[in-house]
Amino acid sequence: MTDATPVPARTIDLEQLRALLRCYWRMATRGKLGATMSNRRSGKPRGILFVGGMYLILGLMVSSSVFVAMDVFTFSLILLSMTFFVVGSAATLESSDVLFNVGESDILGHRPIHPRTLLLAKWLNLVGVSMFLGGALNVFPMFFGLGARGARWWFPMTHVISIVLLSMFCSMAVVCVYGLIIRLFDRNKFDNFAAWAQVAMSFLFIGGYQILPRMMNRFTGLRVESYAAYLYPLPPAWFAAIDAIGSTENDAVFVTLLIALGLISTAILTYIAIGKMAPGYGEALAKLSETRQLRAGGRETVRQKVRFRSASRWWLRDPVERASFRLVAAYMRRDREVKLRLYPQLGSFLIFPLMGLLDRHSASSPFIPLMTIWVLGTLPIAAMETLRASSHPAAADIFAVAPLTTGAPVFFGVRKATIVYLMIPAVCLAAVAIGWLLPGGHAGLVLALPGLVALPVISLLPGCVGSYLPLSRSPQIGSQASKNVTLIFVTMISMGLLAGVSYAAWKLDFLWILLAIEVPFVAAAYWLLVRHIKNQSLHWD
Amino acid sequence: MISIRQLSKRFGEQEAVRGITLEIPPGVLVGLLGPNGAGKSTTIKMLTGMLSPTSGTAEVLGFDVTREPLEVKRVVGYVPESGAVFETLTGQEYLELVAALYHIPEQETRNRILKFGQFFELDERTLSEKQLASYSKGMRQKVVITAALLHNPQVIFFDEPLNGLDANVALSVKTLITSLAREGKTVVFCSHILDVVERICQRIVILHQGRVLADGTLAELQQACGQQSLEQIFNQLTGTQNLLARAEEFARALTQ
Repeated sequence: MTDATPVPARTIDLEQLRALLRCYWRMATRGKLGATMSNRRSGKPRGILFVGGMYLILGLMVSSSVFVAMDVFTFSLILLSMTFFVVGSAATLESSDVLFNVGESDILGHRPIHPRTLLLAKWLNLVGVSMFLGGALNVFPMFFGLGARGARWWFPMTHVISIVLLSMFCSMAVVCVYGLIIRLFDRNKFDNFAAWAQVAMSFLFIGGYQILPRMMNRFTGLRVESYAAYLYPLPPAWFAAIDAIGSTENDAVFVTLLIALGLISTAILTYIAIGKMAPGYGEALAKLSETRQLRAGGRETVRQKVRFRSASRWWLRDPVERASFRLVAAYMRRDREVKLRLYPQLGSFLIFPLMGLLDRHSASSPFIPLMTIWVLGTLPIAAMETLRASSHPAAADIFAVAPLTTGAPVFFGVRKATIVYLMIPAVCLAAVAIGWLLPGGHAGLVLALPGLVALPVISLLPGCVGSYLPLSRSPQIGSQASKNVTLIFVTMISMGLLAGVSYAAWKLDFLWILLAIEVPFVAAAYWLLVRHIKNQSLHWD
Repeated sequence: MISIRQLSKRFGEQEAVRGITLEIPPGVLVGLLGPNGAGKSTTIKMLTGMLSPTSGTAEVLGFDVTREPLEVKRVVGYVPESGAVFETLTGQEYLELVAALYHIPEQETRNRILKFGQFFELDERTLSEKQLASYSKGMRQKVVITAALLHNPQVIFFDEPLNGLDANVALSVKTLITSLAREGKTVVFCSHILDVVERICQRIVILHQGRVLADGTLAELQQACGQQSLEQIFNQLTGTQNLLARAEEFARALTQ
């Protein structure tokens, strides 16, 4: 007889749960970076540690806000709003890999695992990864918070509980959203809905961090008015209230109500995800792995094709560049994995114009256009780095087989696809929001010009660091958060400096002079970078 | 052992499996053949509890695949065509994970991994130190097969297990498959390599467009089709017409 021990008909199998958690944690912490750095031996979790280190430093910087005599609830609310963004974004980004990994069906689909055990393991893994990042952000504030007004000696302990609950809430919300989508739609529709739901969730989590504090019109200095009704629908406020337990600065009823909201909503989400959605999870995974008849989605009309062909005849005159453009464009329109990774990034740059719309006070300030262009600067790099990975990396061997001496035309094709399908729509959308919807919009548009001029050069950066080959890497669990951090960090600093200089030039009324200096400088940088990329020989790793 | 009645599977408008009926007794090595898209993998996925049938029933060791999928999964082993593994784990970690999912005690797991490692000549250091992403196709397939057999299943499904393997590894796998059948296990062997099926399988089932076209021993099929080799039988039943003429036309088109 078979040696598989007959297990009682319980749904959560603890031994399986432990084994799965160990496995998922290893995969989440190793990722591609770990494997590459350690010569593909059992990798060390360097990628995620690097990101954790960055959040640690960020947390230290945020901790300094305690010195402006802030009360404990406000301090915790600001911290947990940031954590909400970090934790929520990590859970959203990792969720498509963790929850709906089609390849996993062949590995675990035929093993005797109850869907509830599997879903619980995946959820705990999401909580673990997001809690690690959220925890890193909160290490220093956890102790600095003792200096906040009204903080009690147990603040570090309650703060740990707040972070754990916030992580559980965010991860469970993500599981519920995906669970609902896969129940309602078939695989083709699931891909599209999941991609857009991910955009919406990213938007929500970033919003929790950026927009909501600005909606608090009753901010007096840096103190939140405890009785403000707008705090009740805000998840970070629910968990921040835990830190305010016993504080004399906040009303006990208000604090209790917020905590109750947090606990009840987390419990409801847990019940829906594990209790209601889990039984259908196995079937849902199988549904995703089913063979299906796929139509080439997102096809252009004949007229669009004709127009595109005549326009592209000059712009994409290099056949390799044209082929690379078409390959990447097809993946951007059709591939689930690529869509799930790519489009959520759109959420980030729209936040700032929206912030202006919600907060009339800051609407006419230079902050909105400068921040929008600052975030837009990171979009080409983030998008092109995302397009390096696909679920069919072996197919990218075609670039190794083809007689290419340099990867430059391949890179330029990808870059142009990113410009056509992402950058132009993003810039247009941002321009409409800033120029028409916000008061004093035209001035805002002018202020954004120096950043806009720099974008073509910024978009060349991914091609400067080694050979760029699209869709050639396999997406790895846990790698999303660690990917591209350095390049994006450099871009953010450069674009931030440019935004600062633009603001100063605008204030001192020499913005047009700045532009006149910038344009030839950018042109020279563009020429040099293009030359550098073209001279790089193709290195296949 | 395996009892299939009017089993069907539909994916939207596409009907992958159309009313298959089969009885496979214990200890038989069955070759499941068919051209690409014939419904072999879909049938196997239904028999391993991975996919629910659209209609019909199937039982493995008396367990219904629709009503008792977990029980079915406990008694079957499956080597998928994709050879998928968690690539960021080491071979040892991956096999330990699989063993834990079947509640095999740790010491027993170690013993079994050691035995399989000896049979497949898997270096212990490689198994415990290197991530599966760095394994060769052959080595990875050895791990996949070990993972399918670790819990000593009574019914084993091999879906194209010889794909991309070198001659030595392929020989090990073939020898293992025949030994397993001799030990009384039911083995379903899916392959496009017809001469291997001809040599090792006691019974051959040919699927085409989701239906069973032929089922019997090689001798029975030879008699029914009036052909000598399995390749000829397969070609006759699944209909590859004018092959030579089409190949010549294709080659000419390349040189023009």
